[in-house]
This record gives sequence, C-alpha cells and structure tokens, in this order.
Amino acid sequence: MTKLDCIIVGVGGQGSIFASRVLGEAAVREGYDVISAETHGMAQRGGTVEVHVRIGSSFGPLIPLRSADTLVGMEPAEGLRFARYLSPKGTAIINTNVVPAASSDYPPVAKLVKALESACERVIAYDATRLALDAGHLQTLNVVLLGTLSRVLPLSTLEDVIAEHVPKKALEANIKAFKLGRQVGIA
Amino acid sequence: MQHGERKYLLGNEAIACGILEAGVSLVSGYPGTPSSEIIPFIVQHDERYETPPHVEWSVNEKVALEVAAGASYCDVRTAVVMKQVGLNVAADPLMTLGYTGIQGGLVLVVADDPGCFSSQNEQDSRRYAQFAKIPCLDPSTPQEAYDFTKYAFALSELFEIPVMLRPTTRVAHARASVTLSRNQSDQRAPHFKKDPQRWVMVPMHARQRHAEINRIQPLLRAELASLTSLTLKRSRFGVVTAGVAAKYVEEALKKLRLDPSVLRIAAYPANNDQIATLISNSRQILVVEELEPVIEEQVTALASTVEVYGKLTGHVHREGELTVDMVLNSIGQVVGRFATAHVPAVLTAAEHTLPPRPPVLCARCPHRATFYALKKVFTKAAIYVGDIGCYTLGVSQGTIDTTLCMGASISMGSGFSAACDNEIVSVIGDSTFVHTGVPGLINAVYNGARLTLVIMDNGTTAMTGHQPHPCTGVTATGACTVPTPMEDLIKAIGVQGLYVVDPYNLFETEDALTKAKNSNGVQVVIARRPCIISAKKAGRLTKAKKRVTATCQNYFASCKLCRTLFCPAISYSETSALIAEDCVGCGVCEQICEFDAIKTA
Repeated sequence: MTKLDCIIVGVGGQGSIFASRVLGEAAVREGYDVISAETHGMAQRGGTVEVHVRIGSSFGPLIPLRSADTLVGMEPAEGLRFARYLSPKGTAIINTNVVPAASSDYPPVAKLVKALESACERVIAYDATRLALDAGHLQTLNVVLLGTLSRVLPLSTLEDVIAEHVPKKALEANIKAFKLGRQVGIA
Repeated sequence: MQHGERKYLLGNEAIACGILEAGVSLVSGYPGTPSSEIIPFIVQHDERYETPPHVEWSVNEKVALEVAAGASYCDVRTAVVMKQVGLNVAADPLMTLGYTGIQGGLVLVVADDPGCFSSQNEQDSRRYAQFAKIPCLDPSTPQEAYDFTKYAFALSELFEIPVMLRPTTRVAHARASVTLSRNQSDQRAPHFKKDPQRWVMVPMHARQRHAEINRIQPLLRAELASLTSLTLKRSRFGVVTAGVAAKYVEEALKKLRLDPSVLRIAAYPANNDQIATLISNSRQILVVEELEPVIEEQVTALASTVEVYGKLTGHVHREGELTVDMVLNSIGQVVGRFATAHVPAVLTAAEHTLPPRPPVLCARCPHRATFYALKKVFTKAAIYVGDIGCYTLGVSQGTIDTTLCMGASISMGSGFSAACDNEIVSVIGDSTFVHTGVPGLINAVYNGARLTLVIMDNGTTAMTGHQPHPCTGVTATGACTVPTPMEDLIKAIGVQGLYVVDPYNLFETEDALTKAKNSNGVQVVIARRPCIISAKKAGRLTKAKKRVTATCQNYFASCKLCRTLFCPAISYSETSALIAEDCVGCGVCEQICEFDAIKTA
C-alpha cells in the first residue's frame, strides 16, 4: 500500500471520529504519514459527521471528489450522501441499519444501496448494528465496521489500537465486534 | 528526553506541544471553535515543567491578550489563544501592542474558519496582522503548525513584537502524523524593566514607537523570506499560494501533470523580492489563497507586465473554503487544461433527496424547555434578540430573531426597545453573559431600556466543549476558585426584577416570565439547569430511571403540540408520537401534552 484515502461518515454519536482515530493511529504506528479532517456541524449529537483519512499522503486533509479508495458508512443515507468522494474503483462498506432523520421521509434502504452499487466497484452492505448488539453493545458499531475495513486494508495493528483505546470493561465486546466485522463478506 | 518522537495529533494539539516546548510561563485565551483544544491540551500535558505555566480561560479575548501582555512585559514567554471573531474583542490592546512591543516572546494563536463551519463570519486574521503591523505565520499542516509555533517565540523575541500564528480549520482541526523535536526551552526569569517611553503610550511616546514599528517592517520581510519557498520552472505559468491551499495546489498540479513555478508563502508581510522574481519569470500568475485576497493584492500591485488571476478576477472562489476540485477548476480556467471529476447523477441527486440532519438541541437540553415557555408567554409578537452559543438553535422554535456577536443580545435589545414598541426578550448563555454581556446589562439599566433578559445558565461554555467560566468557580486547570456570584452581580447592577427558575419546571418558568413581562424596566430571568452533556460527563446523570411513552391515537391528527419542541427523541408514526430510546425523561413533553397522552412510568 503506497496510499489509501478513506472516508468515514455517520451520524453524531455513532463513533465515526473514534473509528477514524483508530485507523490513523494504526497507520502512523505502521510508519505511514497520515492526515485527516473531521467535519461536523454545531450539534453534539444527531448531525452528519464526515471524516476524511488519508494514509501515505503528503497532501491536504480533504479527499478530492471520486478518488477515495474506501467509504465506511455507519448509516446508509450518510453513506450515499458522501459517495461522491468515492472512486469508481472504490469499495463502500455500509451499515444498512437506519438512523431516522427528524421530520423527514427516509428512502428505502435497498434503493440507497442500489445507488451506491451503480457508483462504485464493490459494496459490502450489511446490518452492522445487529452485529454490534451480538458483540454485546450498540456502541461497538464503529468497531464492527473497522473489522470489515481491515479486510481491505493491509494494516495489522488495528486490533491493538482498538484494545488500547477502549475502556477496560468494554474491551471484550469491542474485540468480539472487530472479529465479527472482519468475518463479513467471507463466502 | 526523546528526540524525533512521532505522534498522531490534532493541529491544535501540535500547537499546544510547540507552546509547551517553548518554555512559556503563561497561557491565556477564551474558547472558540476551531481553537478550543489548545488550552485543555496544555493543562493535561504540563508535566514536563518544574513550575507549570499559569494557564487560564480569561473572561474574554481582550482580557486574555492584556493578561498575556502584562506577563510578556516581565520578559517571560506567553501564548494567547482565540478564534478569529475573538480577535475583534482583543483588537483594542492588539493595535497598540505592536507599538509598545513585548519583552518575553508573545505568540497570539488565532484560528480562522473559512467556510464558517462554526462561526458567524469568515474574516481573515491576516488583515488584522497587517493592520497591527505584526508578523503572521500561516501553516499549511499540523507539522508546520508545530514548527511555526516554536519559531514564533524566537521571532517574537528577535523583533520584540507580538507574533500571530494563524491556523485555519483544516490545519487546527486536521489530525496528522507530527514529528516532535522535544527540545525543551527553559522558562525565563521574570523581570520588568521600567521604561515609560516604551510602555506608556502617551502621544509623545506613541509617535516614537509608531516610527519604530514602521522601521522594522522591511527587516521583518527579509527575515520571513526564509519561510517562503520559490521553485522556478521553465513554464511561463506561475502559482502563488499559502496555507492549506498550498497543499490543494500541489495535488491539483500533480493530477493535471503541470509543472509551473510555485511561490509558497508561509508568513506575512510577504517578501516583495520573491514575488518580483516570480513575476519576471512568468506571463500568467494564479494566486490561490483562502479568505481575503491578501497576497493577490500584493502581487497585483507589483505586476505590471503579467496577467494576475485569482479572487479579484473571478478565477478563485471568493467565499467559503477551497478544495482540490475547486483549485483544479481555477487552474483549468487559466491554462485550459481540466481534470474535472465526473460525479454520476445518482450521487449529485443524493445531496438533494436524502433527508437532511440539521443541528438540533440535544434530547433533554434545558434550553428547549426555556424556549417553549418563552414562546408561550411572549408569543410570536415579541422580538427575541439572541447571542452566540448552543441556544442559537432556538431559531427553529421561533425564539431567536437575531444573532450578531458575543454579548449583543442585551445591548441590541436596548436598541430594539428604544426603537419599537414590541416586547423585547434578550437571550444569552452564562458564559457569554460574563464574556461581554455584563457591560450591556449595565448600559440597559443605566439608559432605561425595557426588556426581559433570559440567562440560559447551564453552568458551562457548552458549544465549544464545556470549558469553565468565572461563575462556575473552577479554572482552566480544574482548580477551585472564587465563583462570580451571578445573582449578586445582577442585583448590584440595579435591575428591577430578578427570578431564578428550573426550566424543566414549565409552570414555574412560565410564571416568572409572565411576571417579568408585566413589569417595567429591565427584568432578568435566570433559567438554571446543567448542560446535559457536562452533567453526563461529571457522572451526575445516570441512565433514565423513567420510561416515557406516548399513546396519542385519536388526538394526534389535530395536535402535534410536542412537535414544537423539536426534540430529537420524539418521532411520529401515522397515528402517534413515538418516544425513542434517546429519551432521558426530562418530562417537558409530558407537561405540555394537553391530552395526557405522554406518560412517564
């Protein structure tokens, strides 16, 4: 891997920023230059969160349109909202479990996934929220998705970085979440 | 001490490391996105000092800069931290601080916000540096932010002048691998040398000092040339750029496979000789910078033989932040070579058809209840004069009609009350009240205004990340201090009526607001309830013991009163309101439901 641009998006409170920090920290540990940008609105929770992570890059933190290698969507509508950054050759990893938006109609999830499929080479869409609950806590959603991401990235320290950064009592659930996420898509 | 330690740091954390390694004795500031992380990081990492620096959240930015100036006059190193609009508040001391100069290095960190991600305007602090005749360093990455911070102290002492470090959002809030040199400077011994001609700005002295600051300008330009890089190529096309835009230019040129001459400016005042060299080598020059055309104006003034393109010619976006794609387009317009990304219609359409997620007050935010009570008592007919903080979001409840700047709610309210007959409600938060609201309140009472001031007191500076302020009785370091007694202060100002209510108790709140509405002069209602996020962090908020359910059925079609709360925990099916798991049982919707359909169990 010489360079990898990754977009991580979700709704405030889903852990997009934590996921991006783990990804960046692991890459730095493995010797890569990393730069990332977090964009979130004024709200503490419930707003759209957009993080750009650039591994092996000496450029600015914002990824140009249609050039990200991977997109991680903690939520399907947010995934599609930022899919314009994804390269036509890129991979989208999408949680199909919806966070409803206040006082608005939400399009059918199948339609969102189909739109994504038409825009990039590979879409891995599954109910990551259910896997997070299987692992023991809804809050491990971001780690489930990192687990899936780890299959398309050659980074070996993700699991270690997660273990170092989660509270002790949540360690077991997070490791389980990572492993469940990593198994997704294995035929 | 480790050397060349590599860390994954936020730009603001890198700046904080630079400040700590410079051996500062004092750090002051006022919170403001995107600058707020610097001071807390310094507090958390001051262990390498035998005597940790004095670190404070000052009451406002003017005070912060003056505190730092006092310490700097004593020959110790100081840093002052604020956001761009905070510099307006600190402009008074800044304009004369260049004249007196400083003794110990004084670095003024001002974070600019292209794109207004969390600000009320897009002002360019480089203009302020120019205005105050002080040098300004313009980093493009967190690594440079760190390196420039350390250099800024040396530069400040070399010329005995304050130095501005100006990161923008994409530097301050970028997180990147940063190599820290970890060479720690010692703190300097304090010594104030009395020198009235230097420190006392009576007209006679000020004239001399004005000549002095003008004298050093060319010296500054010469010194700062070392931060600039000029790469001359055979191409007759040249690009001048600065800040994070320089990185976008690098990437765009690589995509376009272009190899023009590039002048990358990293400090102001920019050196004319380097610009002149580029001009003599070029036929066309494109200037790519965020915010104001500061460099472009300088290049245009020097260029008589070449075409200069940029914001003034419409080739570069005038407002908002830049992106690589925008820079690609700017270059394309000048050289006629494009590399526009093709975004399929299904993705561009997505931006318009996907449900928006506008910012809302948190579930259980006490402000929501206060706004509801305000609307009920004062109705749509009143004018709601707002301020800067989370409560700006009250605009969706129809209870914020204006937002201008810190503290303006009370003083603008006075103006409204003098100009028109409507009921006037000024809405301000506790931290903003102490910041610049107090003079407005004194003024309102003194000049006979007629208004109700609602202080939404959530015991913190919530929007910028829960920093303490004087009324909290806690300092930036977490130490206990004398709390400013809010009620005593307000009473001493001489307001005609003062009420303190719990916003969760709608009956009590509406009662106090009604009394205030029916009274004359300046009435103050303090709606006091801790911010739910800070309460949660402090462990004072456990999981909801109560479960709230809604069973609207028959009434739903004609009611939807709870919708006026804009609570993120309430959604709606075809037949009923639905209370989500986010609900923590504040009970406000239960109190307003006229059909007793919402129940706490």
